Parts: sequence; C-alpha cells; structure tokens
Amino acid sequence: MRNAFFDELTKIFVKDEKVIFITGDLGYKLFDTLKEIDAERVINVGIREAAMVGFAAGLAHKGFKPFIYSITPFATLRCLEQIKIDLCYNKNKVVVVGIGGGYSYGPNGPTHFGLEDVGVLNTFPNIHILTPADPNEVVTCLRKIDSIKEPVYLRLGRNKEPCLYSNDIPENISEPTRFAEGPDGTIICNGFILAEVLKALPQLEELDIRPTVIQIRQFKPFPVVFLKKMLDKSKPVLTVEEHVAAGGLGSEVGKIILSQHENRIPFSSLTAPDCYLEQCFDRDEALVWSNLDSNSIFKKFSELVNQ
Amino acid sequence: MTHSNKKYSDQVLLRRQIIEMATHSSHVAVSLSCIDILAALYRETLNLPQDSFIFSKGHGAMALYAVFAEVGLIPHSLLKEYAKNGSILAEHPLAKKINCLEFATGSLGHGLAVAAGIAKAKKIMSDSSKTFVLMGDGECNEGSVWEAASLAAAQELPNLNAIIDWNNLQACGSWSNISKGSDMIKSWQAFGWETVELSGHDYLAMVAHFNASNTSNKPRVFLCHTIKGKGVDFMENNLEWHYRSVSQEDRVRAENQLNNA
Repeated sequence: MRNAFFDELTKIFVKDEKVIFITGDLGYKLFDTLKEIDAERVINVGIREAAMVGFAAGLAHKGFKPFIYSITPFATLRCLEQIKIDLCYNKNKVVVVGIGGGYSYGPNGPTHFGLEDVGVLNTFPNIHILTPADPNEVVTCLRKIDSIKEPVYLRLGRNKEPCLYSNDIPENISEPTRFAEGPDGTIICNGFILAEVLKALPQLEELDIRPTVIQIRQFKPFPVVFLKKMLDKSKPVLTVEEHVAAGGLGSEVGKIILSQHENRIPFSSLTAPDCYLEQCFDRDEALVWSNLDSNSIFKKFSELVNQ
Repeated sequence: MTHSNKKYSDQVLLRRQIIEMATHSSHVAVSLSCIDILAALYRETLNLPQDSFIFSKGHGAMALYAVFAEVGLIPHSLLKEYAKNGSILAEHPLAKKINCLEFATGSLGHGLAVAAGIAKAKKIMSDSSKTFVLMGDGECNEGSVWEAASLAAAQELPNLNAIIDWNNLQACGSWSNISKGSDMIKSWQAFGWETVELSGHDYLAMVAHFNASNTSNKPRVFLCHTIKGKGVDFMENNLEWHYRSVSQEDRVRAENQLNNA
C-alpha cells in the first residue's frame, strides 16, 4: 500500500502544483522522486508531529493541499488536538496519512501499532476517514481525495498487502464494495484485514456457508443508509476490524442493528483485545493472538450461523 | 504627559469596553495586558485582509473584540452580546464567525505552527504580506510552541513575526517561578529567532518595531513586557483577576480610574 500511495501521489503532485508533501521524518528514500520534481513542495518538518499538523493547517489556509505523513500513532494520537482544532474545527483541508495501521509494524511493538486511530478520529466532526483494503483501493481513494473539501485521514497498511480486486474498483468510495455474494449472512470489514476475511471463505464454504463480504472504504461519514438497506434481513452479521472495539466498525454496525426493531439480527464483532500485547509478534502472529486471523474469522462466523 | 502616555490614554475607551465585557466572564487582566499590542497592530501595522494575524492566546478575546469594533471589523453594538447565549462572541474566538478572524483559538500552543504554515505559504507564493501571531508567556510552557519555533527557524521564515505578551503572570503563579531556570529571551535566540525586547504598553515603540522590516533570514519575535491588568491599579499584577469577573462595584471603581488616567 505504501508504494501504491507514493506512485499515485507522484502523479497528483506533478499535476497539481498546490499539493505539498510533508513528512514527520519518516519514509526514507520514498519521497525522493517528489523532491526531484519540486523540492520546494517536499518538506521534512522533523519529528515534530504537533507542529506538522499546525504548519499544514496554515498552508491549507492559504490554498495549498498538504499531505502529512507519519507512522499511524504519530500521525494521529501524538498530535490529536492539532487535528481536532487546527484541521477539523477550523476546517482546514489537510490529508493525514497514517502508514502502518493496525498491527502492520508487528515486531516494533505496541508503541507503533495503530489500533485506536479510527475510533478516536471518529469522534471529531468534519473529518473523513478512509480505510482502503489493498493497493488498488489506495489509488481509488487518492483519486477521490481532491473532491473532498474537509480534512481526511487515510489509513494505510505497510507494504506487503496483496491486491484483492479482480475487477475494476467502483469509483464511489462513499459506498462499500461487495467481495462475495452469499445467502448466509454478512461479514463486514474496513481496511486491509479484508485479506484475512477472504482467506476464511474457502473454509466456510466447506461447511456450506456462503456469506456476503462487504468492505467499507470510507468509514466516516459511515455508510449508514447502505448498510441499513442491506442488513434489513434476519441473517447473521460479523464485523472484523484490525482496531480496538471502542469507536470502531463493530460499534457503528451495532448501532444500526440496534436501531432495527423487528428481526433482531444475530451479531458479533472481532476486534483487537482491550489490552497491550506482551510479546514480540509479527503481524500474522499478532492477528492470531487477537483472534483476527482467517481461522478465527472462520470459527466465529460458523458459530454465529449455527446459533 | 509623554507622547507614548498620550497614546496610552487613547486606549482608555478600549479598556472601558473590556471592563464592561468582563462583567460576563473571566480573563479581564489578560485582555488589559495585551490591548495596547493589539491596538498598535490593527491600527498601524496590519493591512487587512492581505496580512495574517493569529491570536494564539484566545483567552484574551475581549481585547481582540474591542479592537475589532474600533477598526470596524464588527459593529460596536455586538460587544454588548459578548459571552451571552446565542452570541457569536464567545470567551474564546469561534471558528468562521467573524470576517478577518482567521483562526479559532482557545487551547494554547496552536497558533505559532499555524502562523509558520501561513508564512511558508506566502514564501512559496512570493507574497510579501505580513504574518503575525500573538502568544502569552504562559503559553510558552507548551512544548508545541517550541516544536513550531524550531520548525519556523529551519524553514527560514523572516516574514513570520511572533509577539509575546510577557506579563510574567500565568493562571496560578508567575511565569518566572513556574519556568524557573528558563531564560525567555535566550530560549528564542537559541531556537534561531531574531529577538526584539520592548514594552508592550509603549504604543509608539511597538508601532516602530512592528513596522520595521526584518533584514535577517530568521523569524522574529517581539518580547513585549506587559503588566497583567494594566490600567486598573487593583487588577494590576494580581492573579485573582485572571479569573474573577467584574462586579458592578468593581466596574465603577475601574472606570473612575480609567477616566482620571
């Protein structure tokens, strides 16, 4: 996803002279191409995340289109109040790019995980939260970003996420995409955890369970109308997110299900646990530890169907 | 009466308006501290709407509103609505409500980085208009101020002007005690800034310095010595008036003093 981001950003950077790339001293060599194109519009502000957000807000206020870039926790929680006040409250359109959402930085440990970003930013009015699932969706999101007039948070993985689309990607990112159509309920996810969900499908099929799979690319504003319409049937729903429970996908989908008075749907959510990981794990092992790997998704959904 | 004192007396009306507004809120002494700075800026330095000003110490909003009314950015009648239900004049400036109020503030330590971004934008666009930001000395406790200060120096922004309302009193104690061991002037110099030290109540000196061009390649900070509560003796250098709102009796006493100044 990182390479897809930089490749597409380079195209946008060439076309639009108002685009400015700002890094909090991360992305070694990745923005060299941008510098060759126009060094003045590439700024390493140093390890100064709070100043990075305010500085970008000032540039946006004068008509520039800044992208600010750091590892997820540093681009979000470290400078949270600056995002709230300088971007959301004062309405300055800056694109906050968090690289390494979820457990992407695995062996680096909990200081580098991005497990609270979406939930915390979800509490702010005016922000758009984009959670692409694969490199192609990163490109689709970037192509749409210029049409969004409010601040954006773009949650990326790291660099090994597989391409998941076999067809063209629908351009309207405010609408979720369907990865499988099945009669036996729905699995909803947001972001690159989709790869684990898709891996669980063959196992489920062996038990003759065929769910519909939904990927939410734009988490905020949340696609309430779309989901209300499609969940209005008494079939089980499982949400899967590489994120803690609070403020995330499960809580948003849960609210929709609670609002449906007739035919209460069997519902469960898989999330990162409410505790810090105590050993060194790579992302795959961290997903197993969190019950977010494909096997856990398979087990949880088959239980839900057989309830 | 010296020339600068005469100018000071011109600000009696602004101070009276602050006293009147402060019957509805705290921060009267904060506003009396920075009113002369704002008067100098808005009357003599800023060319609106081209020039930019970020009022980073948002809790001094009464001073900003009084000056805004004087220079015609808001109607005088609006001052009577200050801090009342339904008003656009809150105790900290609201976002996108007043023309030429570029940025809503209230949480300290935000303004300098934003002003640096504005100055950077102007540098890229070869726009020669000015950028000013006003902060408090207490605000300089914030780490984000020093992130922004070092960033602005690194970006070589001589078009960026910071002003410190240096009254040496913050919410619950003196700046020099709370920041014991810090040297305000040397700190800014060490972070790569041009420093100018002057009185924040000497109107003519401020006008001269604010309008002087910066010939260095560094951002510039005006360290303005001020008196918190300036102009009303029982409020001057008295911590209580950071918070206390003005009673009817206080108001009469304060106005009598200002009228006889």
